[in-house]
Amino acid sequence: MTRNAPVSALGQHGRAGVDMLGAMQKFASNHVRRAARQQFEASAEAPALAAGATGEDRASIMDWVDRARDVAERQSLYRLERFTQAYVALSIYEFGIPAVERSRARFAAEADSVVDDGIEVDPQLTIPDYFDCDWHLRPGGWDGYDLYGPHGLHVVKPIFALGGFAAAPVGANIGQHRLDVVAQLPRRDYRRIYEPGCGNGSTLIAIHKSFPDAELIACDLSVEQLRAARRLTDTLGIPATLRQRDAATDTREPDESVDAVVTFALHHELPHAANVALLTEMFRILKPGGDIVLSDPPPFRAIDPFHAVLLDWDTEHRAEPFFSEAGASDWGAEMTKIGFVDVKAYAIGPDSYPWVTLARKPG
Amino acid sequence: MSNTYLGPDNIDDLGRMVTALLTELWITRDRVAVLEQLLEDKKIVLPGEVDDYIPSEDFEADLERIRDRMAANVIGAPLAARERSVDQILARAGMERPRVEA
Repeated sequence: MTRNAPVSALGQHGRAGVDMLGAMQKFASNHVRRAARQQFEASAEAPALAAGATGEDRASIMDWVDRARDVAERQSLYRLERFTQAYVALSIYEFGIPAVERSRARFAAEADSVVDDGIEVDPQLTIPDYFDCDWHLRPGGWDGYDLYGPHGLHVVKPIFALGGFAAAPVGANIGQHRLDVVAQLPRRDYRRIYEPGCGNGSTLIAIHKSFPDAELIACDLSVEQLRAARRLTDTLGIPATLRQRDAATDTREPDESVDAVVTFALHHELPHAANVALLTEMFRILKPGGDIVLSDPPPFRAIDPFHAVLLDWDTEHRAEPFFSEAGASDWGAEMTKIGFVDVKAYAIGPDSYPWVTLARKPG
Repeated sequence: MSNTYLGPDNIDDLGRMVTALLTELWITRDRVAVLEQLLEDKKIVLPGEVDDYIPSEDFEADLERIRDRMAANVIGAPLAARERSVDQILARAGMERPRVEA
């Protein structure tokens, strides 16, 4: 299969270990999960669960997920599949941090001051309390280790490139997902495109490929992630303005100043209220007639109970505190309340992933 | 988060996985033996040279470091879910990150 990851800059020990973690996750997510699903669907409770939640409100949806989880946790194959997922998720750091540290000289050659030259860092920014989390089991959070940029590239990416984690099915090509999501935007003439929560900049590559003449502006709370994004955009020669901002409070972009907004795998990282605030802020900075495309794991209402249990698991076990909260939400409905029009929500890949919500600001 | 995933009915599963590891270990051991034989056949190493090899002091230190890392990865696996700071992870691997000068 074509690799969706760079050639490893780790030593043989690190490279081989990372490769094996990817193989474990791929096998467990494919074969063990398929068998676990069969066990789940053969349970006495399965027909009632397949009928879905009793209501569309978040409490009813979470009650349905809780009942499905109770059934799954009684199944030995479900537990074995989750054991493997948990082992890989933890080993990404337990094994991966020393692997990257061993190659520190290779990664630390570029002084931070050079990278920071291209980032608008805001030392006065108030970091929201919810951001204080070991996201994805990452010790110290996004900024907890100065080599998390290369760690993402040479440990996380080779494993995630195979799919089979969280909402991404086995064989999923995340790079292609980003292109597919950006391609949902209905026009080709956007001049300024904004990405809140840009992380390591991977989605900026997809936006630039689709809109090579558009000006790109992106923000994130994490300085280390912005540095990783700067390294990536500089390496690929992609012009982008990177700003440390809280997009859920104030991007400090002028009113009606961007033509389109793209988000990728962002909303499950925010509490519900912050998501609504972020969407409101995007409405403010969008020009009338501007478009927005959101992409995130599918909502629970759009998937079967076994799938919902798998996604819900990430909340407690992969340090995704808002994963289930997002899964029980309806961003399309929230966007309609804010004033967006022509709201559409649909899946563009297998297993309902990526799930996109497309909308327009009137005008 | 809870660090407990497997139940009593997973013990057989673990047994199967350990048995599969025996097969994989033998495949690697067999390959090393084939490589040794090929090296002997091509007169690159002499018969018994591998068995009689005495590591230099430097190589012995290298081997000890690699051995310690492997032992830490296996014996330390249960600690991975319990002691999770970057510094604890690096310490288990016999490493530390550079200190930032004040």
